[in-house]
Formats: sequence, structure tokens, C-alpha cells
Amino acid sequence: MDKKLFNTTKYLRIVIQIVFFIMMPSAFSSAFAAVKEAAVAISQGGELGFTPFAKIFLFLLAFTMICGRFFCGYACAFGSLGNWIYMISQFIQKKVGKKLPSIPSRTARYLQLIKYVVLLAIVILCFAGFSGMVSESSPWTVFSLLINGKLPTEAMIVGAVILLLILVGMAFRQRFFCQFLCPLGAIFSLLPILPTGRMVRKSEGCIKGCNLCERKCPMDLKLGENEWREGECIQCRICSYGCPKSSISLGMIPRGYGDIVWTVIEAAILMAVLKFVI
Amino acid sequence: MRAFVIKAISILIVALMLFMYQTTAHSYAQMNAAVDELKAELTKQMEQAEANNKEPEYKDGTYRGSGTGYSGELTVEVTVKDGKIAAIEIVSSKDDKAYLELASGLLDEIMASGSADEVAAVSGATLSSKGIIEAMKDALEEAAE
Repeated sequence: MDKKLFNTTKYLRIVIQIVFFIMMPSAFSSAFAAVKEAAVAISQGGELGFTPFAKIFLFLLAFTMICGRFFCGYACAFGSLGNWIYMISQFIQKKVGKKLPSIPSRTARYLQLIKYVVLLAIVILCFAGFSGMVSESSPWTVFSLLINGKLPTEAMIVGAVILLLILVGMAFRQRFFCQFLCPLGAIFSLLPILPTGRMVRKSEGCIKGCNLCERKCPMDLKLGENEWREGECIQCRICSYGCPKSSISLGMIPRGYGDIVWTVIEAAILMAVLKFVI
Repeated sequence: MRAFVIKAISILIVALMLFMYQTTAHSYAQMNAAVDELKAELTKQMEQAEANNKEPEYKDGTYRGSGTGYSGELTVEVTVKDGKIAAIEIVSSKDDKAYLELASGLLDEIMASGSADEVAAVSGATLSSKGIIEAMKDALEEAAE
């Protein structure tokens, strides 16, 4: 493992996350709004509109199929929040000298299925005409309001409580929300991701019993173990730069500075399209 | 590879279903828009027709009007009931009975249309007709007030 490279990518990621957090804190809820919108339109027999929400959503689908879930790993404000809360929580745990109980990987993999239930429930509720209830009890709505310096209304009490619970969960586990609950992540993880957006592990040179990539993975992925679960990868590249044998890299991009440039390009494309084109 | 292919096929199926839904919904919406347009046009036409057919409303009562016939003054009496002309009677006239009878065909015409504005004089009894029309206009003007 190249410590310098590892730190460069680590800080690059934090910078990109902060920029996206400030520039577009509600990109994730805008994208998912398209799904709710479509469910409502279909339930009323109406046409699907090519609204700004739909444009963001379709763009992110295409982007994710080519580049993987880069949006989740680098651009989503809620994901970044999860990272930061976990970081702070880790820091406090180290200072205090006590460790919070952790969810075992095996359990986590089952819990990951909850997000599909969340997605299905939201779609069904919107279809049944409860879209107002959905957005009122959505933690994203409350989060967006708070970010924009507004207080949530009384009607959003359910959303506020859910948000609070999620924030607590984030302290226990990195990417708590993304892994277990995010309905947009559920859609993304069902997408066929092209080789250009997949992390590839060459396990020939692996040190026996290392498993560092698996232990460090915020999404509890075992690379190369199960192709069906590869959609969980959020392109954080921690496995790639943490690997002592440098045997993990993204798709066709060589690991190292070429990949760093590619990361910046990906972020620039996302930012440019979401902010200026749509 | 297998997972990728299955996921890709699933996505294509979903996209195709949405596309089919969209085309159906689109033609349905277009059809609805056309129907709405027709409906709007029809209502407009009906409203216009109604406005055209609407007889001028008269106040109930009996009104007299006079005009000049062939050989002098001619008076009619109009009875209005429920806002419509119920009866017309020629009260006095110096004209010959024959002319008057010929011209009194106008009375039914005026009763039917509810107005003396668009009736034409009966040929052969032009002046008596003109007298009746004049007298009717006079009486109805009063009734309209």
C-alpha cells in the first residue's frame, strides 16, 4: 500500500464530497422524486412528464451504468453525511476508549435487503395516492429543509424522528442509510453496471487471510465473490488504495494517478450536468 | 457476467413497459384533449344558439300600440303572459276588412317569433301590414320596458 496515494485519494474524496454537499445538497431527493412522480402519474393514468426530476434521474441512471455508483460514493449529500458522522463517531470512540457494538457483516448483508422493501413501499404508497404522506414522513425532506436553514413543520414529525434515528445509525455503522435503507441506492444496485464502473480484484497475489478489502468496505462487499451483489459498490475505492498488494483497480482505468484524474473528471461531469445542463 | 445480462434484460423490459405505457397514455391524453376541444366548441355553439333563440322577455300585462294603416290609425292590443306573447288583437282600424284579414296572417308570425322586427309585409296588403307591424312594435316596446 502506498500511503501517499492512499491519503491523496482520501482527501480528494473529502474535498469532492464537501463541494457537492454545498453545491447540491438535495440532488438525491430530486432524483428520487422522479420515481414518486412516475408512480403518481401512472396511478392516475396520466402521461409521464419529462420534468427536471426525470432528467436528473435518467441522467444518474445512465451515469451509474457507465461509471458505477460514483454518485453515491462522492456526490450524495446524505452519503457524505453518513461518512462524516461515522468519522466523528470513530474519533470519539477512540478518545473515550470504548467501542460501540458493530453489526456483523453477515447480518449486514441481510439488512441490505431492507432498502428494496423501502423502495417498494414508497412506490406502492405513491401509487395508492399517499404521496403527500410519503414526502411528509421522508427524512430527506426534513434533511433538505434543515440544510437550507429552515425548520421542519409539525406535520413532518415522523420524518424528523426517522432522520434522527438514521443519524444515530450512522454513528454505529459507516453508510448505515445507504446500505440498509436508501431507495435510490436500491434502484442503483439493480442496474447492470458496465465493466468501466466496476472494481476488479486480481486475487492471485493476495496475502493469505488478509481480507483487508472486505473489512474496510463500507458496503460489506466481498469483491469477486458474488456478482449479484456488485451493485452495492459505491466506488469509494478504499479497497483499491488500502490493498497491500495493489491488486484492486477500477474497471479499465489503471490504479494510481490515472485513476485520480478519472475521479476528478467523473466529479466534473456530474457537477456540470446536474448543475448547468439540467 | 450472468448477473449483468439478467440485470440488463430486466432494465430493458422495464424501459419497454414504461415506453409502451407512455405511448398509450400519450394517445389517450391526445384523444381526451380532442374530446375536450369538441365539447368546448359544442357548448359554445349551444350557448350561441340559445342566445339567438332567446325571445325578448316581456313583462306580463296588456299593451296597446298604434300605427298607420291604409286609411288611417290602427290599434292593436297585445297580451303578454309568462313573458311571452299570448294573444294579439286588432282593436280598431279604418282599413277594409279584406285587407285586414289578409294582413292578420302576420299576427301568427309575430306570435311565433316573439318580435315584430323581422316579419315582412304581406303582399297585397302592404300598407295594412305595415300598420300592424308598426303598431306591434309600438306595443311590444312598451311591454319590453
